[in-house]
Amino acid sequence: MTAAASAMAAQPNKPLAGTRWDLVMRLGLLGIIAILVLIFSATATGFLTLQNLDNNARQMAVVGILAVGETFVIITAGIDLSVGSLLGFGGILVALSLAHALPIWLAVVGVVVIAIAVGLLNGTLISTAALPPFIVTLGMLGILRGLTQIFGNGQQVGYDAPRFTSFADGNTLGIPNLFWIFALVCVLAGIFLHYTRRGRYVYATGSNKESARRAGINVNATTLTVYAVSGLLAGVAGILLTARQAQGDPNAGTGYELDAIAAAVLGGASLFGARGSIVGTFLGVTLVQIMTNGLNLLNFDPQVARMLEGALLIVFVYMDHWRSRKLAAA
Amino acid sequence: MTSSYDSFSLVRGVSLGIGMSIREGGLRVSRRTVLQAGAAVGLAAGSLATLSIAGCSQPQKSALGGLRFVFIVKTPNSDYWQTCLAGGKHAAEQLGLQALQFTGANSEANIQGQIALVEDALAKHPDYVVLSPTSSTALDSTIEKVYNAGIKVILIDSAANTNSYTSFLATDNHAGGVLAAHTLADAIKKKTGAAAGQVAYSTFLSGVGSLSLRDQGFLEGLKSYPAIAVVAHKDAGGDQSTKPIGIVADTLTRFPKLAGYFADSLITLQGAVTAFRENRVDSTKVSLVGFDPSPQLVRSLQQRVVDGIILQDPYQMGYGGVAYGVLASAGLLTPKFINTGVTAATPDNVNSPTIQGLLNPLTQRNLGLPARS
Repeated sequence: MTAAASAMAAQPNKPLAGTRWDLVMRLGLLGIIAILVLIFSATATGFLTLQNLDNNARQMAVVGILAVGETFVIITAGIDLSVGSLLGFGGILVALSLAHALPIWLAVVGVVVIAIAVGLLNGTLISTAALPPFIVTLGMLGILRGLTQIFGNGQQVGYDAPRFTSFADGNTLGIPNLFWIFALVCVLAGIFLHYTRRGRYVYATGSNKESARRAGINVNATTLTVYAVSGLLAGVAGILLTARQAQGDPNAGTGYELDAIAAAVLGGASLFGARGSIVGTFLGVTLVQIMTNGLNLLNFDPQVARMLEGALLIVFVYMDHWRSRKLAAA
Repeated sequence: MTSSYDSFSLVRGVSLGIGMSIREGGLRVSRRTVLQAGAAVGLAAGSLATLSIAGCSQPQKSALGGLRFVFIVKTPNSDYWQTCLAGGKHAAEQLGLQALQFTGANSEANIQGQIALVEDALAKHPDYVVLSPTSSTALDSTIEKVYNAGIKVILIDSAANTNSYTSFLATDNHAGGVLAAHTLADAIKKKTGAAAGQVAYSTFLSGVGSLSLRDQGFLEGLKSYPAIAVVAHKDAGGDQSTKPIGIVADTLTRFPKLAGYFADSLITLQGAVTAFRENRVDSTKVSLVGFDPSPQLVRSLQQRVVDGIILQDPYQMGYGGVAYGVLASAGLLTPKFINTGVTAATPDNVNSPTIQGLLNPLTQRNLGLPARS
C-alpha cells in the first residue's frame, strides 16, 4: 500500500491537479442541474410536485445502477458493453423462475449469483487471457442477448408474484423503493471506491497497470472485482426492471450500456482510466433524468433530450481534453 | 345422394371467390367475407374430398392434396407469429394440403435470413408461397423472382413495395386506430358522463408504417368527438424497457386532469399500465385503450384498469393465407387486399365467444365450420 502511494508520487502534480479539476467539473455539473431545475420549475407545469419527484426517483434507478457498475470498470480504463444484455438476461431469468413458482428470495439470489459469474467470466478473459475489454464484453453482449431470446422463446415472460411487483411500485418513508436501492448501491460503491484500500487499487490499476503491478497491487484480482461488480449491478438492475414491468422482456435493456457509459462519462469518468467517481456518476444520471423529464413535461419530442445529452457529452469530454493538454504543456 | 349438395357447395365456394374479387376489386373486404371465404374453401375442399372418395381409388387423399406450399413468417419466436403459424397449419390440416415448410428467420430484424428462406422456397418450386415480409423494400426483388417463376405469392400481415403478388391479407391499421378512438371515447363517456376532456397517446417507434396508420386513424376517429382534445403525443423511440413507462408518467404529471390515454402497440400499452399503477391513477376516472393483447393485459382488462384492447387476427392471416393460396392455385382471381379485421375487446365483452376466439384461437376458435370432434 505504501508502495502504491509511492508509485503515485512518481508523478506528483497529476493526481492533485486532477482531483481539483474533477471538483470543478462536478460543481459545474451540479450548477447545470440547478439551472435546469430552476428553468423547469418556472416553465413546466407539474415539475415541482411530489408526484414528479417520485417519478424521477423511480425512473433514474435502473440506468443509475448500471452506471455505477460501469464507473468501476471505466476507472480501470476498461469498458463493459455487456451490462444492457446482462440486465435483459437477469430480467428474463427472474421472470422465468417466478413463473415456475420459485420463491422470490431464491429467484433473486440465483440471478445475482449468475450475474456475478458472468462478470467474473468477463474479468477472467480480460485479465488472465489478456483480451481487450471492448471485444470480450461485445462478445458477451451478443451471447447474453441470444441466450435471453432463447430462454424467453423470444417472448415476454409473465409471472404472478404480487409481492415482487408491489416492491417496485411501493414507497418506504415516502421515497420509492427503487430509489432506495439505487441510493444504497451508490453509498456502498462510494465507500468502497474512495475509502478502502481495494477501492484505491481500482484507480491505481487504471492509472498505470504496470506500475500498479510493480507496486505490489494484484491487478488481475482488481480487474476481476470491477467486472464482477458491474455484473452484479446489471443483475440487480434486471431484477428491478422485471419487478417494475411485472414481466420479463427479452429485449429489455437493449442499448442501456451506452446510456450507462454516457452517464459515467458526464459525471467525470475518463475512458483512459484512473478518473471517475460515484458522486459524479450520480450527478450524470440525475442530469440526464431531469433533462428528459423536464423536456417531456414541456411537450418536447423525447428525441430532443437525447440530442442534448449527446451534445453535452461531447462538450464535457472536450473540456476534459483541453485540461489534459494544458496539464501536459505545463 | 349427397353429391348434389356437394357440387352445389363447390360451385358456391368458387362463385364466392370470383364474386368477391369482382365486387371488391382489390379493395377492403369485411371480416365476414373472409370468414365466408374460409368456409367456402373448407366446403369446397370437403366436397372435393367427397367427390374423390366417390370417383377415385385413393380414398385417403383429397384432390387438393397435390398442392404444395411454403409458409414463411418473420420469426416463429413470438406469440403473434405462433398464432399465425397455427392458423396456417390448421388450414393445411383441414384442406388436406401438403405443406413443404412452416418457417421464419431467427428475429424480426433478420432480413437477410428471410431472403434466404424465400430463395430456398423458390428452389422447391411450390404452387404457392405464403409470406410475411420482414422489410417492405428489401424483399421486393426476391418476391418478384418467386412471382415471375409462376408461383402464387400470398402476402400476410406486412406489405411489400412490389406489385408482384397475388393477394395480401392484413390488418387495416387505420381502421384499428379509428376503432381505438371510438372505444376510448365510449369509455370516457361511461366514466365521466360525457365524451369530453384531455387525451394523450404514445407510439412505440416513429416511422413504422403500421403504427403511423394507427395513430392517424386514432386522430381521425377522435374528430367525431369535438369535446375531446389531444394534448400530448410521445414516442418511446423503440425502447422496450423504461421509456414506454416514463413518457406516460410524465404526461400524467403534466396533465393531471387527463381523461384518457391511447397506446398504439403492445409495449406502449404495457408501459401505460405500469405508469398508471405507479402513479396511482384512479381507473374509475381515467380511461386507457391500446393495441394488442398479452395475458397480463387481458387480466388488466378484466380488472377494468384497461378499458379496451384492439385485437388483430393473426390466426385468420395464417388460415386465410393458406386458403387463398388454394383459390389462387386453382386459377381463380383473388382480391389484391383482404382485410382480416380489428375488434375491440372491452371489460364487458371479454368473455364473449368472439373475443375469446380471438384471444385464444387455438382452443376457442370456431371458424364458422362445423365443429370437429
